[in-house]
Amino acid sequence: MNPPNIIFIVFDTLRRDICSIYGGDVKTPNIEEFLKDSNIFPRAVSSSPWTVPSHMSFFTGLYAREHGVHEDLEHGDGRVLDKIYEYNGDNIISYLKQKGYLTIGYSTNPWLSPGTGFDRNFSSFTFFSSEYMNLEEMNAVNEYKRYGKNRYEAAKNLILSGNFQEFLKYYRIHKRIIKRKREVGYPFIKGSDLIFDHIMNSSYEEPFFIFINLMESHEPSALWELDIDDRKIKYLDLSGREIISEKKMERTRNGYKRSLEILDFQFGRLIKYLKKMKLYDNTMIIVTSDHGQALKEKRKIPYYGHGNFLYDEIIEVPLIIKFNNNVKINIKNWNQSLVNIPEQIKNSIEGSMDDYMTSEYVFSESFGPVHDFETLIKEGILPSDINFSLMNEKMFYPKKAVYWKNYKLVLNGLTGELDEFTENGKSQDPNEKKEIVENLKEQIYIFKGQESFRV
Amino acid sequence: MTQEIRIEGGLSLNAKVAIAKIVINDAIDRFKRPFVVWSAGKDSMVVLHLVRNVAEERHMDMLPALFIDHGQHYEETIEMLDKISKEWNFKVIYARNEDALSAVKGNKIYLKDLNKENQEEAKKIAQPGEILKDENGEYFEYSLETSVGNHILKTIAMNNAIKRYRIDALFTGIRWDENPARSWEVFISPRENPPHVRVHPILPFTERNIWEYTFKNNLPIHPLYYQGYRSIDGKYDSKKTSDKPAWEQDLEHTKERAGRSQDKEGMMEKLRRFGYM
Repeated sequence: MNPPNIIFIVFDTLRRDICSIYGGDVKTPNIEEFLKDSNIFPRAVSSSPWTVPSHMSFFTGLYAREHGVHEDLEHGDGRVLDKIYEYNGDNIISYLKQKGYLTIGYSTNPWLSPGTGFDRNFSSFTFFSSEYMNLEEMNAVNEYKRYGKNRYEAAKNLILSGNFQEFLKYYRIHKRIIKRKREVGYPFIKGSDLIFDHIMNSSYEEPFFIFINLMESHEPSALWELDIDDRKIKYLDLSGREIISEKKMERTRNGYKRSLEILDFQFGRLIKYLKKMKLYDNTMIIVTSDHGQALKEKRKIPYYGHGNFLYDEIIEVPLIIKFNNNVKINIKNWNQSLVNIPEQIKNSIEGSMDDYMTSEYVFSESFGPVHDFETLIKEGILPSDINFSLMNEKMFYPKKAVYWKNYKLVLNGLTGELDEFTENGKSQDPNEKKEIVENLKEQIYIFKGQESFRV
Repeated sequence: MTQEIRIEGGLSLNAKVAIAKIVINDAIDRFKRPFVVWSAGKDSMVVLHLVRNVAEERHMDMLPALFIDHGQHYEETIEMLDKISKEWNFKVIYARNEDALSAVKGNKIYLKDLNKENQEEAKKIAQPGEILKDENGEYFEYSLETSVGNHILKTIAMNNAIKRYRIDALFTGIRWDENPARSWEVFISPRENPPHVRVHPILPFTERNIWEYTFKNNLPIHPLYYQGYRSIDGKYDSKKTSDKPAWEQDLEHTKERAGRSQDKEGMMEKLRRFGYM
């Protein structure tokens, strides 16, 4: 028997509940059709609320604390690139390579691009810039920072100092970028079309493993977000300084939904192509996401974005697996952890068609805000007088979530207090279910191991 | 593998304690989710106490303990677990092979009542004559005396716990002087399936050292040792070696595990290979 090909697609930032196959209202005819040959996992949870630790888990089979590549309270994501390099264990890519697989990566997410360390062990890894900037333009974006913290300030300084030539140069480049973004449909289309075009124009030696990360669902999701740094939008809103209006948020929600329609369309192209090339039946296809997206739902702390919080909408993701020969498997009850992906792949290529995704207890963890505030202020993205004390209370603490059966519990690692205790997504009184709360806290206690995380 | 038993007789107890602490500290530095295997027996009690001391020195919580529950423990053992874990304030996780324990019928475990994994494991490890047959089908005895019983009730239970709790380091109380299979163990020994390391802080301790340490530190003593047992595990398989308390017996010239049936030639070596301590 020929070993199956594997295509592993990450719809970056796609939350579970909007997908029609999970009861959501976005129509996804191609994914629905694909489901006839595949298996839907009902309750998949990502191990982390943002790209880097989550992808590291996909590849290593380890939770963030175990592989060590995650944000920290002091530096945010400031040390993450170093940590990717410091990780010296094996991963599923090296395993597949050893098994004779051709390993190819395509991504539109800059965290997952050649040079970050995520490309290690891949035969080839290609990054498609989702903003369609050429090298000159990308350099220009970095260069103007010499003249001011942001482009408005840079423009002002250039004009005031009479340096009109430089001003005109950057202004033209800026106009060009904006024009191109509009032409290609950014922020709604972010490169999935390019990646699939590329795949359809390539031929791969079998067996192949292709990893694809598509950014369509990642912010920005609406035109109003285009000219503002997404971190600025997020943190000004969170600090209460510049609340995102409901009208804007509604546009963002619509744009977010539209992104899934685009992904579904592009995914349909890929499936059609695989069938045409007679590659479909002998290819295992995994479709999931690295995390979801909060769109300012009604919560104690409403939030737009991902990272930091372990809300359902941020860590509950879709998971569909088509095995080779379109085998249907028995999926166990309850929750799936995406850290089990390498084990699922290894067993599936050995011919063991069982559910390795489901675990009795499934965890997700956050170590604080993803961004480094000092840098954000230094770069002029955030004002220096932003209300930190309010932000501190809201987000400067580590969190861990555990899922067990219908229950979910989230702990604040600084105080040991409950952030969340729900059954079927509905808030519960912890005093009425003391035994369950105690058991779940014990599971987090064991899971945290030696980390100084209060339980 | 050599059949010699290694006995470290030159070092003082203090030196061996210092070595144990170096080993424990090294493992705590390097591993994220270490557990202490604890049976309430004399050796694991010493390891537990040493780990507790190190944890106090490091101002950290005591590590959680893993108790392998094969369903045949003495009541006194369970009482000790509860009492000490409360007094010392740490968590005890019970590792049980639920599938096998729920399949026990009288003193038999029928293969057909086990899940696929346990069936395969039983066939893999069973020595000739351990898998028997009656009108209801193939079975093995519900005993810790046999390779297959030991493997299914203890090793599999432990391996499942390692996987379930994602344990990366397990502290155990094995010693060089117990038998030849353990005489060439190293302090930190990597294992596969599931991947983790075994940490052996008290390898150089002799049986005499264990009792010296126990009395010096006033550690709780399992009541059965007073009755003459020298090595305690399952209640059907442990036998007295004398009527004298364990520490008053001739420790240097008689076999410690004589009261347990596992001393069969070569069995320890095989069990070790498949993951038993």
